[in-house]
Amino acid sequence: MKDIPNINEFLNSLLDDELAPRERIQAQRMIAHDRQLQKQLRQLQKCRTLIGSLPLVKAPEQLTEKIKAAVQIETTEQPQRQFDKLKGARHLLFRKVLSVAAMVALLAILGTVVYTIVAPEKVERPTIVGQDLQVPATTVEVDSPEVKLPSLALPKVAKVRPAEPVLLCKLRLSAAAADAIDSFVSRAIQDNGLSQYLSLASRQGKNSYALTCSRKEANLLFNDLAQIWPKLDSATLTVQADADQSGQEIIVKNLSSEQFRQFAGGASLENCVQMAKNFTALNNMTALLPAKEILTTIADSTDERLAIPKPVFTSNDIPAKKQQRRSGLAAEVYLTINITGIGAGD
Amino acid sequence: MGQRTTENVGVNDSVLVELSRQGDSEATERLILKYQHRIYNVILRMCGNVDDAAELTQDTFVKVIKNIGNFQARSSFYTWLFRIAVNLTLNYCQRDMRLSISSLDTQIDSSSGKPRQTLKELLADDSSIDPSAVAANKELCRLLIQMLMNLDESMRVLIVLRDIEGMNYAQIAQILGLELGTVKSRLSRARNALREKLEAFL
Repeated sequence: MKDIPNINEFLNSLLDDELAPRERIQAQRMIAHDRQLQKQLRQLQKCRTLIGSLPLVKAPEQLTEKIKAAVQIETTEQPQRQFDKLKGARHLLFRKVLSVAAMVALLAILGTVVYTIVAPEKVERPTIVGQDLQVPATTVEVDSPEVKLPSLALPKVAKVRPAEPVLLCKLRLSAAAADAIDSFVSRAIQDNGLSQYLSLASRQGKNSYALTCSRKEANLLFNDLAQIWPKLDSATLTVQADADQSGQEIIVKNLSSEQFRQFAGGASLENCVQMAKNFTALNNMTALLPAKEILTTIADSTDERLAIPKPVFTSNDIPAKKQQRRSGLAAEVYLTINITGIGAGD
Repeated sequence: MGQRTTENVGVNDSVLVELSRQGDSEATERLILKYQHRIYNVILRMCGNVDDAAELTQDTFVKVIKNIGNFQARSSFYTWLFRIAVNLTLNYCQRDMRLSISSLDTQIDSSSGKPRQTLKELLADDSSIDPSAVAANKELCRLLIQMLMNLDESMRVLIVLRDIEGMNYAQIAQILGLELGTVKSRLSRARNALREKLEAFL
């Protein structure tokens, strides 16, 4: 005999007419000989009958109309729902884009603030009016005992304290043939390719030349100027080394041509300054001496010996090689040459 | 015996379904009218609440009409319709747990006791049951419904589909997505459970 769970299924299937014909015959045989099974089957049948006897409850009368109305609403709302869905998706996308944009803007602002705080400070370079050199101007004045020197209207050059030590030279030349001297100086400046660094001012017939140049260029110019020394009545060199910034001037009076040549050939700025000091001492002592050789030499003025044609100051005359000399040279000397004529005597 | 039916799911349903898919509202209405009471009855016996049953019936037909274009006739329309109804009702029962019958003994105590006597008499070994007499006895019906509601919904749905709606095992298996053997075993357990409750009550 089968176990009870299968018997129950068997009986239920028999009750529901779900058995195959062979199984149904088998079940009927089992039941015919088993009163317990018969009783069990009867109880199952009664339970099924009781539940099956429950009356059919009809749906509410308006249900059909409600169903139709609900379907109508669904049909009408569906496009609107799809539109709302699309609209919602667009709105969501817009909000996302807005959020991203806000984040980017915030990062940009934050980056700007951080950069402002940690950015390195910019060092402003001083500007030189009309010059690319950082050399202050000095002026060489030529003393003339008969000429009252008015205030100089010297060419203005932006005075900027240079980073490197510089030599400030004032060369004061006094000669009877001031014009010739002036022409020579002008020509020398031009020949040495220093014209572009030249500021020219005219002061009652007396010319001043202010220029900045390297020490090498200054030495070349000095070498050229040394040629006219015999034609000068007097020459005074005022030197101020800007390195120590003490403002102390070294005035070399009665500068001789040889001294000028030595000064021009100085090995360094410090050497030039030292030589100037030495010359100052020497010339002061020499002035006290009865020989006065330097004064005699300077006093010799022979116009015909110069024979320097009045040059035509044109930039085209400047040799190309001298023009190229300037490149790469530091401006170490600021030189002003002032030339004045003299009267009959000192 | 109850409303056991072997419903005609033949040409009529196929024609109405096809017309309904083409947008024939009259065909749709005919489908609704044909099945609304049976659907409502099954749902009511499963959920035990009139208002909920009405709403679930409405939802069932709305869903059917909305998706009738997707109905591919792999099963009969009848089976498809009841599958939707049963699934919606089972989901509702599991979600809301609206069955408020706390204790059968409590309810029985509050009643007159007459149904108990009637039931006792009906279940007596040598008695026979007259379905019409049962249907006419409202108190007895109420008692039976309460006992039905006391069953677990997985058992209750089998009893309702089999003993109230009159579906065969194959249809029940299709609707519930079960194997035939599973339907047999579960139905057997459901009826045993119901019988035990009835005997315990008596």
